Amino acid sequence: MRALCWHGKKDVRVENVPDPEILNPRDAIIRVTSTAICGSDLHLYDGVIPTLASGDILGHEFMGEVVDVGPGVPSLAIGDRVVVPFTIACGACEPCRRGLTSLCDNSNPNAWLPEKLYGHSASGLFGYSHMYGGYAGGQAEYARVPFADVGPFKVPPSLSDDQVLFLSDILPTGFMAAENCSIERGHVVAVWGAGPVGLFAMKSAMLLGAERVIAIDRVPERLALAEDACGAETINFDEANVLDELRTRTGGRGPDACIDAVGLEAHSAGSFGARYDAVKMRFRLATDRLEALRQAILACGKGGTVSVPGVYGGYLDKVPLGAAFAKGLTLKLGQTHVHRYLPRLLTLIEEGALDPSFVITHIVPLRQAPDAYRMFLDKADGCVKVVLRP
Amino acid sequence: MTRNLADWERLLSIGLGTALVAGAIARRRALGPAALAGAALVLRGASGTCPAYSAAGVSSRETGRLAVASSERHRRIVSTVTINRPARDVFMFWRTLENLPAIFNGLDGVERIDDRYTRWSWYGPGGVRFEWTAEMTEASNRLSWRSLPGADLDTSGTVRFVDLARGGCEVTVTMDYNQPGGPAASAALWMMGRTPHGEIREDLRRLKHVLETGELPVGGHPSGKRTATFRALQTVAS
Repeated sequence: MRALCWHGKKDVRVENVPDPEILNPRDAIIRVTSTAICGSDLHLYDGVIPTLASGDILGHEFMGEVVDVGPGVPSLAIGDRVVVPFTIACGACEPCRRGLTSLCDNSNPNAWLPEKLYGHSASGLFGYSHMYGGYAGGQAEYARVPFADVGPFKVPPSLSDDQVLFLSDILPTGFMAAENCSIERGHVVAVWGAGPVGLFAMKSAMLLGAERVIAIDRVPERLALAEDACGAETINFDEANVLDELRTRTGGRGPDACIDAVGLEAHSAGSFGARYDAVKMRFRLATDRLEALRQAILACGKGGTVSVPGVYGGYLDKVPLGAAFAKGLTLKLGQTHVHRYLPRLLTLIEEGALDPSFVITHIVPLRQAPDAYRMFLDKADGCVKVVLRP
Repeated sequence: MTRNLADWERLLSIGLGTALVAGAIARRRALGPAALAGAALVLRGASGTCPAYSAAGVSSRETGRLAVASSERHRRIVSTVTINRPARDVFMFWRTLENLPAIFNGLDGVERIDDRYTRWSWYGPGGVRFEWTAEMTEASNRLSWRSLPGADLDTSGTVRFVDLARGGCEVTVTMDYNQPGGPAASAALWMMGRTPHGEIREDLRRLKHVLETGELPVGGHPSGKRTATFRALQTVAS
């Protein structure tokens, strides 16, 4: 089959690779009909996530048709149309039973590695480095899905691929980020990053009852989407001092909740902290650029919540934890428990309350994926979200 | 670190160190390499502890000459895992010895000789084969074993299975053993990333995987073209 393989920093290629096979009783094989490039795939593309190996197949947002199932998957049949959560979960361990499926104890065959780095291992992920299990990803014609009796969710034929594909990751991720904000009537929520996850977080914050949402970015078409599709106000961080602006727009209180939908490769306009991070990262003295997180903590109003769907990987420098402490903030972090949110969001899409396809700007065949990565990284041609059709 | 130098070696160390420092001062090189080495020797003698001996697992204190330290011969490992199943289920799984080769890396076979004795064969790192007969005893929530004299691997230990109020159980292995091959083998295992402690931890993780999900997770397939280094590392790991 054809698949997109990683070969080093900014080097991805579509190659012929062996077809996936059923390796365990609870496996299924999916013929991928649609798959997307995630903002977090750009971290892999930039080579800032460790333990990726040359030849790894990327992609963790995918859906398709079941073409083979193991004997331990009574819930699926050949021909079923499914969307696949990017977090692999067994459904039986204590975290899974509590609904915390991205913290599954049993899906990472390389659990010893994150255990050494982080103390404990989270779940395995598709196409996201050997530290997360080394699973082949979904930017391919076929993909093997472990624990297929727990993972893939069937989707109705009335909905198009473009409407349900993002249930695999970014829609639940944006939603969980907003839910983590404990939004109440009258709340103001600020969102750093108007990429797809940020946009879904804004949309979700509105659905969950926020009075106002303020988007922070510098890419004009993304800010326009935040305004038009999500009903957000916007701040262009190239043109304004974000902290002053947020204070002014909230009567001096600061937002009730701040969402960092940027993560470890933040860009920022010339602040001291941003330059400091860039220099340290260049010389491999730092693992993360965290200007968005710093601003979110400093901007957040007293007793508020900072919710972090953006990915961080290492030991962070100059985190204003003193500010978080002084203001009694709540920090909510972590990979998305996709299985927990997916059915509810699917219902919203079926009812017409939500149509996540508004973020799609480009649909290209799989063979053009290397160009699409480049375009997405450069945010060229108004690129917000790329869908690949294998 | 515990003391690992005999008295004669402490005096020798202090004497040699003092001479080196004195010589360096006489040559007006009080901060040169000779002076620093001398100071380290004085410190080594005065404290009675040699870090290099400690790392190599040897001592001159116990017998008066350089020998493997007793703390290196007898080792104890304690490792524990939480499994989301009742203790009784895990206990029954473990005492069904045919289940164990799928869980314990390198375990080739376990044979029940009679109610008390079992015969074990195990391939250690590097493909070295060990065989031993063990006496097994069990109580309601624990299993114990002790190898008989003449075993390739001198080992004894206990596995405890304890139910938790939150659901599931804790399984704790306490194992005593003599490291075959002594400190040299310990060091080699450490270099290979296969310490006994790490191995037991992974064994317990496999036990958890199988009891909670019925299978062991596998990743890494398929893939595009791998580098020679990656393939070599995979070969070493398997």
